[in-house]
Amino acid sequence: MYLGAASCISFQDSFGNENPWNSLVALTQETQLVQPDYKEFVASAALRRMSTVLKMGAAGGKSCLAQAELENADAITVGTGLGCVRDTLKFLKAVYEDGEGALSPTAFIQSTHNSIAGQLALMLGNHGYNMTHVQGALSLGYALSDAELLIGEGDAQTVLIGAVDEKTDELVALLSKLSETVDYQMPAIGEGGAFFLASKEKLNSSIAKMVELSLVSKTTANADLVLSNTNEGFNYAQYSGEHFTSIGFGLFMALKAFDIGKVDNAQVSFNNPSRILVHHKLLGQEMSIVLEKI
Amino acid sequence: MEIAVTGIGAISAIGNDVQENLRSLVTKETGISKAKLLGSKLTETHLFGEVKLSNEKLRAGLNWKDAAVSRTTLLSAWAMKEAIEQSGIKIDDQVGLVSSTSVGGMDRSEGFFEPYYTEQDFANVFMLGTHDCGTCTKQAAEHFGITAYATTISTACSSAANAIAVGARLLRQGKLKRVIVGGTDALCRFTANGFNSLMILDSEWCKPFSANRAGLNLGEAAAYLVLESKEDAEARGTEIHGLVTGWANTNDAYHQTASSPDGNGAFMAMTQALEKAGLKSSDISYINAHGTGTQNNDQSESIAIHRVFGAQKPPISSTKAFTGHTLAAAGAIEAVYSILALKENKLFPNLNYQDPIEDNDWQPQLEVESAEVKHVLSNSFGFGGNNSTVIFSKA
Amino acid sequence: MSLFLKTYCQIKEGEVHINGELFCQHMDEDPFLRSIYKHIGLTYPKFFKMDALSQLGFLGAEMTIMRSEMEQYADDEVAVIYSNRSSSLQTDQQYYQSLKSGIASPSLFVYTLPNIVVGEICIRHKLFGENNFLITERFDAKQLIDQCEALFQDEAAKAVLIAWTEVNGEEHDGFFAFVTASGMNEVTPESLTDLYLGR
Repeated sequence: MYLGAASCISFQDSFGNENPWNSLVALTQETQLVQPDYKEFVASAALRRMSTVLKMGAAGGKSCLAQAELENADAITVGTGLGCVRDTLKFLKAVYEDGEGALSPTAFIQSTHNSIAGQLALMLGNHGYNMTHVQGALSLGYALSDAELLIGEGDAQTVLIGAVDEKTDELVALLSKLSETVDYQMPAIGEGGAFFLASKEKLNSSIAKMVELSLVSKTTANADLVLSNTNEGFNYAQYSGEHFTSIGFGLFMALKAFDIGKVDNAQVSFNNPSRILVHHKLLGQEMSIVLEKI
Repeated sequence: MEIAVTGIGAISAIGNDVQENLRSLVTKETGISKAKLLGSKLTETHLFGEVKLSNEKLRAGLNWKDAAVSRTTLLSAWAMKEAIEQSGIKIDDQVGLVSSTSVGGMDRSEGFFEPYYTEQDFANVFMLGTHDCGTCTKQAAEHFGITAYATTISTACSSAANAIAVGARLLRQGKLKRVIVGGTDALCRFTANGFNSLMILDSEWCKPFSANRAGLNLGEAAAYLVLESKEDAEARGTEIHGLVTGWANTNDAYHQTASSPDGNGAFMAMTQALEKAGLKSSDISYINAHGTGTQNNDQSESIAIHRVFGAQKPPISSTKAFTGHTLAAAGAIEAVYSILALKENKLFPNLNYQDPIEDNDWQPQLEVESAEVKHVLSNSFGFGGNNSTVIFSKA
Repeated sequence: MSLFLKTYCQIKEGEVHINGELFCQHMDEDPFLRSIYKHIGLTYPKFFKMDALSQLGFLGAEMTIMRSEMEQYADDEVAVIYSNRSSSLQTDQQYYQSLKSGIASPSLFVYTLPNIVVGEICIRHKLFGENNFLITERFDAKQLIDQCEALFQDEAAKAVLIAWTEVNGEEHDGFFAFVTASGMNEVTPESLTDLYLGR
């Protein structure tokens, strides 16, 4: 399966940036998402009500397709660890504070996990296969697997694949308290959305081939460049923050590494890698993707 | 590769296993009633399709030691156990799980959210450990020793139908030798209130496909199928309950929650599933419709069915007046009923039918009837325009 | 004479409230009225030929009537009285523009009368009772309630769908109420005005 066009919204200057490797900035307490002007991608009435995941989905998905010079993809698969946190908490709050009265149907509608993929379909007028995988740190892995299987079955030539997760202050507070109860050292929490265009055939925008996908471990395959959220390689999570789909940022950076070729700065150094391993290990789940430059 | 169903398991408002479900279907006994276990004010004004076993009973029956588990997970493990045992498969690194849910561990998380939102009390925060959908599936997978592949589809009411399709694809491409597919959802205040805020709950017993239908009744359930290649099943000498011959997922792309007036997504899903199965619409012996009882779905689905089948329609029924709308589990529990229809050569009735929908030239199957059932088409349509159809055929 | 309120609906500022509860908000890329049409799962292609005033009036009627158990009334026992301030001004202006460009648009011309929406509603819901359209400075609960009372006293109707429908570009001010001669919740001009003002 070929990958190439990719779009990413993260704590780094990644959206629309040809060389995000040369503008990496260490995270601080104040770091926020570097977001595009969403008005370019969504009509204002809809934008008003959208949470961050939905905005990232709209902008990420649309800009990825634009980069691939495609009007549409045959299918859409999305991986998300927690889905629409803001709307879920908002609706829950209304249920309990108002004693099951005066609720917001909008928050409920937007809280369903597949509202990200569903909304993309709506915006793009896309009637194709539309799937959402919610499997913690393996979510993007299963979205990639699903795309690969779909292409393998001959049911799609192109698949738009997304990995999205948002954080809110409330979520961070809850995770923090939860971590305390199990004595777990919570990492710095991040958020972000990354979209990829996968295809059966090589497209003009194609950059690499996915040659291996493991949903259980770090593959033993050799690689010129290793991107991992552990210190067994370049730790991308220290730039994206940690979340269930932070590997999306890693995959994005991998594709950009192939594209740019040579990077030599304070954070990292590599020279035309031809094989990149992207790895993620979190809360008892582990996955890895091996890409080969084409 | 032909995909065989070698094990089925189910728990719903009409039975704690497949046999009990079947008995209720043929005796026309609904499971929709006043909920006793769900702690929501809505139980005073609305009816639900509640599973009659408490969490304690589920845990006891499963010998589930860990108290940190949600009802959603328990229901799924319960149904998985039945399916796995019936199939006789051994769990090894060639076996995977494709589960689905929309609420995940929300039922348990609500034990935290109530004191948290009403009194700013964090005491139960540990309950959030089982909140996300992935964890529910992971716990069920671990309970049975499934390590190779375990994912969770979450596409609202079409989830389990999609899980079946993903499972079939995994087998066809040799990624796994056997796969357990299905879905689960437990009742919780979050969804009960969510659907109520959309004003699509009927405060009385739902009336699928009736002109005066007023909405759906929510239900909870879990159901799973064990899938493997027909060749492998025959080599093992295990009973084949049916075949999964066609599937399709399309997006209506009309609105976040409502279906298009012409039932486009549904039309495309049914058409593509038939194509994949290599069948004509006239080959279908019975349609287990999505038929939730909402004004919108039943109208839209009726139009789509007419577009696909024309005047020659097979018997059609919605079994949601038995079980309620079990959300992510719907595609799975109805897959089990589709398999039962094939095995028993029976058509299951559409309960509580009253007056025909004005433009429909058909009325649903009203009685339990013996008939030769060769191919069953099952529809599951979810929010986000997610439309899925799966076709099951006689073994 | 006591009058009763069965159902009320408000379409305003990108939100729809039914009987005081938030029913839906404008959350997609369609124009607001179209998104309501989709949200309630309506199948009525004629809707797309209507002008904004009629669409607003039609949708409000749909959501109100659906919850008012109208089956209990004979088809000439339900009256419809709509009102607004600007009549069909917005459409009048659009029609005038079309004249200037040289092509008079008959489909626009139809909607240059404010009461066309009432006609659309009566066609849709098969209502053969009395109907009227009032032009008032602002939402006038007293006039509307007085009209209902008169109809009930004359036994010309047993229920009335009253409404205020004002459009100005993407600003909608729609308020609908199903008023009956017998029922549970008494309504007065004051209480109705309170509901309109969201008090």
